[in-house]
Amino acid sequence: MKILIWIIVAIVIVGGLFWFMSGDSNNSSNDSENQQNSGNTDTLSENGRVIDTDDKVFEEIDEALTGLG
Amino acid sequence: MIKRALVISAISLILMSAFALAAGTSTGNARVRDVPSATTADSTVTTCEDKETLKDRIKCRFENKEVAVREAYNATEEACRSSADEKKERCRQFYKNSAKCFNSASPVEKKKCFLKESGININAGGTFRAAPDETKRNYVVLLLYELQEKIEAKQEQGIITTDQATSLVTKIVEIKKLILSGAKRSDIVPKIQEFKKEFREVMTSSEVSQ
Repeated sequence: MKILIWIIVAIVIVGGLFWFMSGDSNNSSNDSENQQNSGNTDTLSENGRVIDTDDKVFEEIDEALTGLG
Repeated sequence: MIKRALVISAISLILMSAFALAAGTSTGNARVRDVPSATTADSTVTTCEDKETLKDRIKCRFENKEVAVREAYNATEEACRSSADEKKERCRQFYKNSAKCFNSASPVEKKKCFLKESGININAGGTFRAAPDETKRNYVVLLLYELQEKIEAKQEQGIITTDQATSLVTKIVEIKKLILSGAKRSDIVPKIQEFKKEFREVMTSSEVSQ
């Protein structure tokens, strides 16, 4: 009986750890998807800039403001 | 024996799920982001709306995350506040509709969403430059909001100080107000340059100190 209970506890803890690990691996998958997408931006806008860094966000702001009447 | 096992299981599950907490933003706009649950809130503060200046309200929200979350769902976004009623409602709707864009992890999808919510129809044979001014203004507001999100995240992680984050977000809100009020480009650009300079100084100093 005791062994059975400890097995259940172990399953809960190990299951929880796997849950965490799968969350991390999902984030990693998203990161690699982002990197792949960075090279394919033709349909996005006139110049196709990808706003993945602070500098690029500033460049995008500058360009949008340039076109402002 | 059974009780002890159950207690250990429960504690394990609680510890594992303790990191997910709804968080708001410093400017009273409703967004949900994962932040560490151990935020240092002053339990005596129940609202930041009673602070007179924009800067004080923003600082208060940085220092009291729970208040910021609550007010994010009840208060009007700071950038929309000085507008007339009809404009204010449009501004609120714009923020509400564009909130989903920030859930996108992909910068490409995020940009698509920004353009769509700004009203820039890039698939109609038009170009960015040909888009109406109002849509471009909306787009710049969303780009500034993207920077604001990064500042808030860095403050939450302790990478930059609350004072640094407060100063930067205050500048962002002032620029957003200017843009949404229809100010001329020549009035907006110097403010953006000033903000950019401070943003880069803060980010560089945070990288050096790490």
